[in-house]
Amino acid sequence: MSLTYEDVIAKYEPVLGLEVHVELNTNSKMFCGCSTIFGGEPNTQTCPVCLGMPGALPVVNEKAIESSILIGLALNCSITPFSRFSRKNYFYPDMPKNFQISQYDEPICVNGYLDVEIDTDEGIKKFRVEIERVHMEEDTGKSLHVGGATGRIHGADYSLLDYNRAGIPLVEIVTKIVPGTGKYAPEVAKAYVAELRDILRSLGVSDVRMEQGSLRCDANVSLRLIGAETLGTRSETKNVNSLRSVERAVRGEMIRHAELLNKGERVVQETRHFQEESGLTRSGRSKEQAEDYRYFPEPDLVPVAPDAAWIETLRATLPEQPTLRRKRLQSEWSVPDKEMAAMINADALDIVEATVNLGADPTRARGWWLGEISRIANEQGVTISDLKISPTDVAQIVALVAQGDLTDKLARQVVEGVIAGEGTPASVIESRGLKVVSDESALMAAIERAIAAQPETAEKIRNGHIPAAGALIGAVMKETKGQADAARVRELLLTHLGQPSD
Amino acid sequence: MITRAAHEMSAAMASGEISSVELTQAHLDRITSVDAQVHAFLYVDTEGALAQAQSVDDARARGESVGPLAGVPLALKDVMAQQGIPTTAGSKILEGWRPPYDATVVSKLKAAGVVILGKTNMDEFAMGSSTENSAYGPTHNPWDLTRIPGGSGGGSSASLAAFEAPLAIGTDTGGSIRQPAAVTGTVGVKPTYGGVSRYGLIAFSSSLDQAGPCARTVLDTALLHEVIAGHDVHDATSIDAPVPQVVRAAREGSVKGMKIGVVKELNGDGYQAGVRSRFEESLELLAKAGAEIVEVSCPNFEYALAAYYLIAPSECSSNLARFDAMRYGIRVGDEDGASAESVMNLTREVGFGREVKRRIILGTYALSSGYFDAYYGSAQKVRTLIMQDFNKAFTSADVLVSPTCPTTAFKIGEKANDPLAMYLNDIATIPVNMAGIGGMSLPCGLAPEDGLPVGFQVMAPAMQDQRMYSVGAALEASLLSQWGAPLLSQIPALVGAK
Amino acid sequence: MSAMSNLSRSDVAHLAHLARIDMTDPELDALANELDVILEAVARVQEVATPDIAPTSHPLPLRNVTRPDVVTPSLTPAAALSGAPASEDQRFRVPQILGEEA
Repeated sequence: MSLTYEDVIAKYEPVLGLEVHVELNTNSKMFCGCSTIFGGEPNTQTCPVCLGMPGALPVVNEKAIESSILIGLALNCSITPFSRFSRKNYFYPDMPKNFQISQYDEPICVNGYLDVEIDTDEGIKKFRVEIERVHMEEDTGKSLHVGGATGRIHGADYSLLDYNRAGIPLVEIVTKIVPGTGKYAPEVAKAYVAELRDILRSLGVSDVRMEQGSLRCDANVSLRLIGAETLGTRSETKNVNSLRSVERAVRGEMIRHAELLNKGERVVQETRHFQEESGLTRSGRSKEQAEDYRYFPEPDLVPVAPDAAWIETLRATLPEQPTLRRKRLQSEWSVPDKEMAAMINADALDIVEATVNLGADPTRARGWWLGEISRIANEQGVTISDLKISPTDVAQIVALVAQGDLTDKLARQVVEGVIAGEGTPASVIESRGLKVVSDESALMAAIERAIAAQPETAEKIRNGHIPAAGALIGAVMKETKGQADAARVRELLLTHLGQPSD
Repeated sequence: MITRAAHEMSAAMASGEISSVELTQAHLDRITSVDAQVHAFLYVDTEGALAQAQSVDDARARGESVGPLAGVPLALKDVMAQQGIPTTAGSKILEGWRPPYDATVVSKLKAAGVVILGKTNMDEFAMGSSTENSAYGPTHNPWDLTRIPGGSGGGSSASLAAFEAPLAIGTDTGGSIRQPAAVTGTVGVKPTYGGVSRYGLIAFSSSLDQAGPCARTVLDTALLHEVIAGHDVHDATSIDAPVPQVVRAAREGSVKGMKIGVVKELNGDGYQAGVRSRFEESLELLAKAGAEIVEVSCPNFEYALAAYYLIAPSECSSNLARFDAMRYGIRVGDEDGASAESVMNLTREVGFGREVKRRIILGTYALSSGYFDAYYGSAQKVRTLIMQDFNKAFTSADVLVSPTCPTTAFKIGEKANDPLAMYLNDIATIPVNMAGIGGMSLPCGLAPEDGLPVGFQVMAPAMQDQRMYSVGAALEASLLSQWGAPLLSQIPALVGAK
Repeated sequence: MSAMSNLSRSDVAHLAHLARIDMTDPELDALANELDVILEAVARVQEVATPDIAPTSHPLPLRNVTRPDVVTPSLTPAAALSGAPASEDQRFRVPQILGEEA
């Protein structure tokens, strides 16, 4: 037992397959006009259609088709000229019709790819993940298991069903098998999901919030002996709800499979559920006996056949690809790799770019958002975009500092005030009285008073002991309540005492 | 008054001869008097009907203009969802369900001021040709109470023949409007697929189902057709085009210069002698009225029945999956420790009748992996061939005609244990559904050997529904002048009738 | 698979399981016989269904029928739950679910 990861990759080659389900952020559901807003009271967003009532019929949401085509285009897919919905027939109480309307053998997008990069000890490595298909389907309702052990399905006395989620548009993005990732399989899986998430966000088609389930990943993993041709038996891990979990789940499954194979046991083809706490998976439904879903074309819907004009109209709206955009901004702003990574991690790229577009210096803009503003966000346990400060506010503050109207210290107080809801930078400056004292005669008067108060210190400076200047500068700053430019005070003081000021 | 045509009742209301409340009450009284024998209705909405009638009378009293069928009573097949009114589709599994919404057809009827008397009996989920498959007992043919009224819409057709309602709504998947019309001496139309919204029609076979109008005259059928037809955004298979001018065609009733194609394969062997003779006489009348009669051949029609009994069960196996005891309908076996799965299994065993279960299992088989291509796939190809046959035939004829059914009404119980013999009833009506075109059945006399009504079928190309009404109205007029009175004047009086 | 195959009780039992119908053995046997007869009759479609013929799944040649992405009123929860055999906390109450989600 207890193989190390190194043991596994020394002997086996992992083969990945990733299926990502994305809830689209349309206003209404896939086949009816019910709202898709997350977190509503149970069964308040349901109607005869999404409850599967006798007689009700589906009608496709046009925006869902357009979002799916956009996703396909962004993933370098072909958009099929003729696609259809089918019925996937199986019984489950959270599925009101006991069939899911889903695209089967005629999906809307096929044959694409997504390139991902991972940072390794051997430098940046690039992998191409090939996309088999992108297809549309509908989500199921949610069950709440009552009685027995804490909300788990097993041992529950009964279940309560809420169909608000039933019929929310889903897009499923399925990769071809991904061989050749070797020891990097877990990182490639994570990088793929991360990159996909960024693309989906840039397209504006989904909230892509893994923790809310609007982006869900199933990771298929199998192992084969290095050099072997045939694929091993795969397991399908569901419930992987964060990027970190994707990596952990793949790594964990690789080790679990290797342990079984080393003992001469076989890997069972099954669904497994990822458990966030332990990082392990537990066995779910066996897929040894293939389910017979009895797919057939959905007779209540007609084919989706996007023409070239429709596709090209959509293609024209595609945003810049996230990787290319990141590279462009990094070079335009001259950002070192590490800091670029920090900015991406903090999800600050959009907001910094918006600030720069309003005229702010890129380094300054980044400094504010990743420095003081991130610090406050951390303190409050929110993200920078949740705070009440906008790119416009930050751009104004940067400009005021550049003009010498604010010192950095004053600017921090302005930022604090804006976040506290005191208004625009101008009104915070006004109400808190934060204007820089730039009247030089007033400053000189303050300097004279400081020298008069501390004659010994002044004498030391005259004798060339420059570090002593700090005490006098401090006194001046105190007298001006911090609203003087400390650098200018130093300059005036030293010149006054006959010392070089630079 | 209750034996008159709907358009005559409408005229009587317009002239003040009778109010809608009086007319509705007369029909409610008739139902009370004869329905114990006919069993056309599963539910009578006395209160709702009288309230609707009152509101139409009020509107008239205020001088508002009302539609041509405002205030006229109607019988609604129980396969249509009507808000707050028990809707069972003839199945035990839906016992007690009151839909929280109206079918589009129901909304249109209400908006037109039509008075819905109640819900009519039918074969469970519209699967059958005799109404014997209703979980609530069979309906009896008013011509002969020991015989079937056709199916699946036997309740609707029987209500017309029994003068319980002058108008009815049916649905037709393989002949469920036309065959009951034929065997009860009434008129029924299956419009072009997509001509009438299916929203709220409890689905049997989605690619074949079509709701349509039923009445005692061609003009009444046309008037009802125009009320219920039209594009519906809630039905993706609904046609977004103007409704064919069926009322105008029914009023004109002209076949001058029209080419009428007799389908060679839908006549002859297997068709009752009296059915054939009445059909032939009708062709002569049409020729006399100015039509040219030609013969057409549709060689693939002989495969239509087989294809139908694969496509319809396949779609129904999926459509009926939703009846699982979780969200509506009856629930069986929900005892301590029972699982959702065991409750589903038990409820579906108890809640569905034999024919429904037979078709669900047949459809499940036809769709299963390994058999899909041989069965469902092949049936879809036959569908293509049937459409090609129709397309070709319509190049040499404006409409096609045939007897509606091979026989007149058979005895209740006669074919109950022989599904294949039962299925043969639909041999002449099924091709129309497979191709999605329009079909009408109207009475063309009584078979001499048994004195029971014979139906004459008219088929028109997609979206040319008005042609059926032209032919139907012309034939109806010729027959009427020959008979001197409507065919239904010959129906035996029901015991207890006033 | 020939269309003439005889269905056994266990074949029909498998179909009944897929269709979630809890049939008795006599029922399965009767159905097996009936289905044999029906299948033999409907298998006639294979006589003319040659590979060159395109299947028709729908009688209308419609394409791209969609609705705009606009929210319309939902049912009230009371109406949604009005037909439920059992409900609790504004949710449909169902017996314990033994299977796994697909």
